[in-house]
Amino acid sequence: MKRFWRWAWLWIICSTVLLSGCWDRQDINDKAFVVGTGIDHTEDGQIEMTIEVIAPMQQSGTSSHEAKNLVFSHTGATIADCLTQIEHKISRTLYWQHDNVILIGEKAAQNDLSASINYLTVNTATRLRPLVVLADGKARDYMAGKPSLEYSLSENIRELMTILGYQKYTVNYVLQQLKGDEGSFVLPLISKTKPGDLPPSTIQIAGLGVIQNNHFIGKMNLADAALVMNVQKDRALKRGIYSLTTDHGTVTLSTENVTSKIKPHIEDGHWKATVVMDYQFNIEENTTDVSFSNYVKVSQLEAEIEEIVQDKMANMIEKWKKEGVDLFGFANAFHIQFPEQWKRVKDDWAKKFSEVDVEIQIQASVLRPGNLR
Amino acid sequence: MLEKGRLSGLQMVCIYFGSVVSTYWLTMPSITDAVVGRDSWMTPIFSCVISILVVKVVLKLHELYPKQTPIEYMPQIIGRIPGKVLGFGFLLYLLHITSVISSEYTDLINAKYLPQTPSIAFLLPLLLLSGYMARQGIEVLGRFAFVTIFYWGFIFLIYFFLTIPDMNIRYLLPMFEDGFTPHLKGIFLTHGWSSQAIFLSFMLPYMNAGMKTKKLWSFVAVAYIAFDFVAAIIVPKLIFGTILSDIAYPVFQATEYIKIADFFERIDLILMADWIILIFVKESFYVYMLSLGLAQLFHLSDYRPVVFPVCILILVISLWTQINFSEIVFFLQSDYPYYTIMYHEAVPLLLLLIAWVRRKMNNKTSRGTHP
Repeated sequence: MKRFWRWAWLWIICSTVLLSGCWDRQDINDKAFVVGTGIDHTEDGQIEMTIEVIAPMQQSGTSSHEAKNLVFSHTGATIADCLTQIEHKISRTLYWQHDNVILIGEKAAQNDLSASINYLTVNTATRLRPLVVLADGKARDYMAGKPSLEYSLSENIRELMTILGYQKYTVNYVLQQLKGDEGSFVLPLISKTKPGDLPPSTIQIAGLGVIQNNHFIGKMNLADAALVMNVQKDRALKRGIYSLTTDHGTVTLSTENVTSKIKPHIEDGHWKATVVMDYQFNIEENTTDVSFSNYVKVSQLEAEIEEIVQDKMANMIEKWKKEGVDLFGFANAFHIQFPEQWKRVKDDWAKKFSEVDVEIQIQASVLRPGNLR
Repeated sequence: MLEKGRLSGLQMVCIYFGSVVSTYWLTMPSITDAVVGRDSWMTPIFSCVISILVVKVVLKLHELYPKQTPIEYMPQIIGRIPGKVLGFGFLLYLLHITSVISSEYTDLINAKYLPQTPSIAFLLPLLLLSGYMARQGIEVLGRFAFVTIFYWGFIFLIYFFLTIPDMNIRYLLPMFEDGFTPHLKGIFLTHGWSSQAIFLSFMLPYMNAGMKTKKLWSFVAVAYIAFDFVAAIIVPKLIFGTILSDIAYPVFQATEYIKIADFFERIDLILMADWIILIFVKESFYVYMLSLGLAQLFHLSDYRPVVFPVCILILVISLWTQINFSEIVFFLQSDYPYYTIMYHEAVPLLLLLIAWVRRKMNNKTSRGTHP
């Protein structure tokens, strides 16, 4: 027992020396939490990095000012270079674990998308979870703006993306798509509200940006974005509003749920794909004199809406097919179904895709006519 | 007998689990994926063949020399001097592998969790504790492993369920795209892990059971490990898909990726703390094997006095070999498969063959003299 206590005392003394650990402590108010990053390319080929940080303040008395959010930016040759310079402007150490949003400026995305997110994938302190968002114009202009409801601008973008169901566009998603079969994919695109709108110059989701071979090549509006996301079986939250205008008024429907499946076929070397989609709609607005409590009218409506969606979908797929941009996952469907044939065309998919016959089958059902019939 | 402790079958499985899985989890999923491609998760199932072969050899040798570890029966099979040399070589191999394990451990902690701490600050406590554990003997280690690995398995299940929302089953399709050839490569690449069943031969002599039970538990250990290898690859694969081969620490980064209901996130540190238990079991078991083997090789009366010197040796070699991450990956990818052939497969197999031949010849000569 005596021996035990001798060792125990030695242990306690040793551990107290080790556990004191105050000489290089880092309190929470020594850190600046990075919540969003913006990346731009300048005219002369430099990279401009903007970061938004939240800096917790020491509580003094009853002051309600607990945290400050500030935006820092710097221009340099590489992102890491910019960050080193930014660290020289901040009196705190940067903490990357809470980085939620990566906003990529139009020019940066056009030049090289993967280079823009590379720093955040190589840095071991960051995760692969941040959302990647494209900006219409310069990311810096958005980062410098004022948030409308949230405490910070990055939080504003993140909430917008999460609530509207764009949360799958993470860094992980982008990295996978860059290595994916299609070679092209979409990312959410934000823009500022029109001058006349209220509140002035607020961030809004403008649609989707199209990326092909690591370059931002085009934009699409919200209506097209809804169709693309429907094919990809994304959660469609009031996205995709369809209106039918008759002589007596308009019926507006919103998508409640969509299921879709791409069925690839190869017959005698001829590549065909069928997109089978099942839409469920709700009636949002009805200014006609038709009452949809009558199921015959509802089935007429379903037939009409099927036609409308079919047309829109066919137009859009045709448009991107001509350019050889596969945003819908046809390549992956062919790869899974016909791995042997896929190997022969995989290096030249953009060309092959423009030759694929796409057939669209839409099945629409209107679930309920609403509160007041 | 230097070791008087006794193990149960389940305890043996637990030690084995801790000693194989802990470092497999660090880099092997991405290394396997880089070689095999989309079907990498199936490779551990196929490499079960190697595990079963090794276990069969180990069990046969154990049947011939019960109550003896390889270090003890090597001189008996191939003669005193060659046996001692071979045994010494085995201990050197173990020493190197143990220091590589320590390097991997410090590398993970330095890279992801405590970037500014000098590596010796967490390597030294690990080695001190492992040395202490090794001094207590195999029985204490077995009980410790049994208690903690059950707790650990529970945590792992929770993590598995939390990653389900981010999984995408399409990342596994199409299966067998390039036929079976990549799997052959994969089996060769990972055979150093499947064949670690050789280390069961250090536990079997101290198992408190008959031969039948020992056989049963050995195969349970192999099956359990294969299952866990599959889990370690398939969970990150379902989350990271095509980029798994680029990911440095797949299992840890998969847990980092968890985000449930917008607020339940950044919980990877709990798995990290759990992983320390696994690496502790592994390190303790290796230190134990090394010091017991050393004592048996030189016929010491007790193995305990050599434990801490062995720990110091491991520390020094680990600091010497404290190489960068790419070198560890390169070692595991291109050297380790060749490096392990000798002591994991060739030596046990040759020992068994020689032992059989000798037994046959002994029987013949004895029959000749006494008809």
